[in-house]
Amino acid sequence: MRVLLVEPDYRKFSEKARKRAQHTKAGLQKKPEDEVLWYPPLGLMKLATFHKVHGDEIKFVSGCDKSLTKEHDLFSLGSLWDRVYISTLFTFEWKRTIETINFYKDAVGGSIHKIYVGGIMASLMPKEIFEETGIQPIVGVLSSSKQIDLEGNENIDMLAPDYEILDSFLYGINDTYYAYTTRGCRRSCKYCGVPEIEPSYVDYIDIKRMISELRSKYGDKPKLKLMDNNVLASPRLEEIVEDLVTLGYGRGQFTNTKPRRQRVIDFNQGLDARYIDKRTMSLLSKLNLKPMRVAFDHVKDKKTYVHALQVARKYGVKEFSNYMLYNWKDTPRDLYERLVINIRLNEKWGKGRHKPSAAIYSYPMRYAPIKSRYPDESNRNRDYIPTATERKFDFVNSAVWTKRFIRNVEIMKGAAFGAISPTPTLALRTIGETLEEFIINLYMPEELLRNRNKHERKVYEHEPERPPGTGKVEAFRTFILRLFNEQPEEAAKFHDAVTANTTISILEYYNKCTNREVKEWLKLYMKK
Amino acid sequence: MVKALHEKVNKIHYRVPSIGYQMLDVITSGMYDDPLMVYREYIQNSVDSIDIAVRQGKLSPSEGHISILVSGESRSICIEDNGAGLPGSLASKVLLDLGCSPKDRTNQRGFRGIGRLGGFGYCELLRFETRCSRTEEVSIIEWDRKLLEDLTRKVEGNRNLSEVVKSITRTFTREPSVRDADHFFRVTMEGVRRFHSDKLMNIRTIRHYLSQVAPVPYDKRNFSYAEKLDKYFRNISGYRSYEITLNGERILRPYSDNIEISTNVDDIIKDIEFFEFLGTDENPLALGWYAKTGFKASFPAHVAMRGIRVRQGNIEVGDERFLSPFFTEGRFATWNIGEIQVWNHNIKPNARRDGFEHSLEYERFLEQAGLLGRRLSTLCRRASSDRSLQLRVKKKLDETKHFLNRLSFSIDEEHHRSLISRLEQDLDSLLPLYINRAGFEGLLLDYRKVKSRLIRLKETPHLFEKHLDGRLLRHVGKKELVQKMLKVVCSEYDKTLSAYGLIQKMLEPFLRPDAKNITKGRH
Repeated sequence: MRVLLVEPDYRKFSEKARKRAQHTKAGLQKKPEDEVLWYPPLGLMKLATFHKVHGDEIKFVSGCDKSLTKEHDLFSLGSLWDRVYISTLFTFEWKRTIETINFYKDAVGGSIHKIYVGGIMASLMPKEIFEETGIQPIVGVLSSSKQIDLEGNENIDMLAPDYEILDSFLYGINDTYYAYTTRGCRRSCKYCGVPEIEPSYVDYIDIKRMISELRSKYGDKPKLKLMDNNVLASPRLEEIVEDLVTLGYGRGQFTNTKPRRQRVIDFNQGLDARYIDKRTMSLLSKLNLKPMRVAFDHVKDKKTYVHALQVARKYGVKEFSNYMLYNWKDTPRDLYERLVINIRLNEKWGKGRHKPSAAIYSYPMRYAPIKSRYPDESNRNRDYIPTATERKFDFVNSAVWTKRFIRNVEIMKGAAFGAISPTPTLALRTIGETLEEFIINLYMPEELLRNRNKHERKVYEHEPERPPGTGKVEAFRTFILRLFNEQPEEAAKFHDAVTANTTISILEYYNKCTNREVKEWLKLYMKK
Repeated sequence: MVKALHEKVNKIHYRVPSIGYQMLDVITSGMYDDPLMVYREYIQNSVDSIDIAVRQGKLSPSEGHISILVSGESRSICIEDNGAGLPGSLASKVLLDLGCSPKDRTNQRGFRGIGRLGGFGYCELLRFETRCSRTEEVSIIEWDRKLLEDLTRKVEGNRNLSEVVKSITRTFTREPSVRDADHFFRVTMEGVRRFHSDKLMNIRTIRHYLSQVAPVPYDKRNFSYAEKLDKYFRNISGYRSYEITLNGERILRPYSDNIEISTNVDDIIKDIEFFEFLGTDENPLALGWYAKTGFKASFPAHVAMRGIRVRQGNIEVGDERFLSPFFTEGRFATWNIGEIQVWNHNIKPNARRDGFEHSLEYERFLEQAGLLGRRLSTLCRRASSDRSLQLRVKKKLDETKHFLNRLSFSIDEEHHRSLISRLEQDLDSLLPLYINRAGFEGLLLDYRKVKSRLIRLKETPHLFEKHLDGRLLRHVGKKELVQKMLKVVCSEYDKTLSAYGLIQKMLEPFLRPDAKNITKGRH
């Protein structure tokens, strides 16, 4: 049987990544860390193992590969594929994914029941995919070969992924193995897709055999990324930890390679703060967690969250990478408060003063809907903002998420590779030293926010040496405060124009606006 | 001898002919060449049933509704209407008998009693559920494809059709559930078989097909002739539109003012023209319309409105190429957009609904279709020849303009005369073809402008001798002059691109200072 495995080409920077891969291959640059490379499509890798065992010919491709339909002569045996598997990921990649599915209909000669679509988006939007493509996707985990119309009852999800099918210069598979020790989650948070993707909670998966197999096949890799969605909810946590220690992921354990390398574990999807206590930490502390990820999704959970972090630190965790959901039911004020809580903890733990006992990296994560619940809410594109119920222009205290605000949070993150720094002074500089400053940063023209070193006069403590900037950042703060305090009507118009974050909205306002100072600033918004 | 034969003939024993179960294949999968026609058959039954409900006062005309639900997850198709339904006493008879529909042949669209088995060839189980009043139970009739296949495998020889039907069907009743309306008819195809592109379950394909075939309303938002057409057809009995939804979304006819041919080519419906097919008694057999478009080319298949569609009871008969034999060239069938609604009851669709039964009225219909085809062919051809003539005229005008722009001198009077008369002749050669032709007004205007430029030039020739410097020439001997010219020809011939370029080079030494570039631009 000839089997084609397809991952839609949805990575925004894929061209850049491909170029980098070429350079690395040519020895022009060092191979980057797995963290920087792409996540491997585990489902397709498991299917590769499954089909290889059955003696099938397999090929992995990314995106719509036209060479596949051209490379063979008409009617030659190899011109059609017996099966095509297509993985899916984010719902906002709808268009590209659908294009990919439709593209590969030709690869099976139009017999579309030979195409299998699965994965996250497929599990969240099966009906929509069926209506659009005529293909009924496989929902949830692929736990039986029956789901793909094959005999037997083999649990494909339990197979060791095939790491050979991928290009190691593109995918993060050089030092890392990926696995699950549990499936699903016991909670059902409204914003989360897990209850649909992995509806039943599996509290224990034995990965010992799989990891041994992987090591004998692909060598002893130091990192293990566990994709569990809520491992701490498992009553069998002890067994899981024991397994991991047996596998050599305990504190102070090393690979059997030369030179030896320290083995580390990353629970990639984060740990649930509500389960972090002395019992769970005494178990987790046996493992070499790096980093430990604790979600901080609601400001109302601050007590639980802070307590969890303090317990974890006591048990010797040194590095935290904490995700913070925003743009869900929160406000900019909530996010600021959560960010400041992390800054204060970092301060307390000595970050920035002496060798800190632990450090927290904050990762604000923008919410995008999983399902479209009403007509104007679409899960098929990325630019979701919650509908504001009322308009208020007390702009500091009642700010709600807008397109520009979200964009500016992403820019702030972007300045430090997606995270807000653990060094308190730098973190406060990035987000703003007060809530008011934070909100002003959310309004700030991209030109200023992106190039703060160039435009900010003040030089902060712990900043790398630089000459003072033009002072435009400070001037913008003065301007916007005056505008909102003294000219509320103009401020309202200004707010509507700039928060929509489109050139048209700004241009329209620019043409109508009579205030010369405002017009000057608008020019900066339009600067590309 | 003759007598003996007679005796023999008389002795042949008459027996009732048996009809074998293979007939089932003929009326299920054998009937239709496109599985989508199954939808048309069920919708046809549903609209008949809705009409009955309206006549019985159970529904107002606007309340009729047909819902189609296609589920990829359960591999099922369900088509349900809120029409009159069937009473329990009749249900099993109507739904098990073959080819004996109780429907009358004038008012109703279906009447043969076989269409409802259309889905049987494509699924594991075909189920009919119905009731006709609140007081009744729901009657259920199931046809089991698997049983039929088992039977075909096991049974040798030919079995009687009725026996086979009996062994592969099941009839029973059940209490109504919340899902069951007071009166309804529901067809469910369970375990729909996967085949190739899975057309029968492809939502886009079904929508594309039903928008063309089913008796659904025009899209008033995008088609500005919708109301006009509804008004025009309203006297035709059976001309009614119904609310049909596919997985919750309304299906509308595909007509719109704008026609998107490809991403960068569009056409529009500028107007529509009505026509009538008259019977021998001067009463209309059918009413129709066609769209006045640019008649640019055949519309591609994705333009669902292409073709002159023939409809009976507002359901399509055949497809977009139905009238293609009547066009002077078959390809013109898809150059056109329009519809014909059959009015006369004696024009009846055949069982496959890809044509009509032969009748005097249908013969007359075909005769008139021939006239229509010819007229529309003429429009297409004329549009096509107009377009190519326009291109030719435009090319000719451009060439003349180009020549005039670059012309700066004539060699002598004679050369000037011959040049101008050649240009004039050339320019006028196509004029008789378009001088009185509609659509050429702009080009004619352009022609007049060019022509007047030509006439002006005719009267004021630019002669070459004006540019020559007599003093320079005076000192050159005739022989030397010829030599000089010949030398330039020899050395420059390969370098220059045109005769004028060469002339420029030859004349350069003898031109007046103010006329150094008389042929500039001719290189």
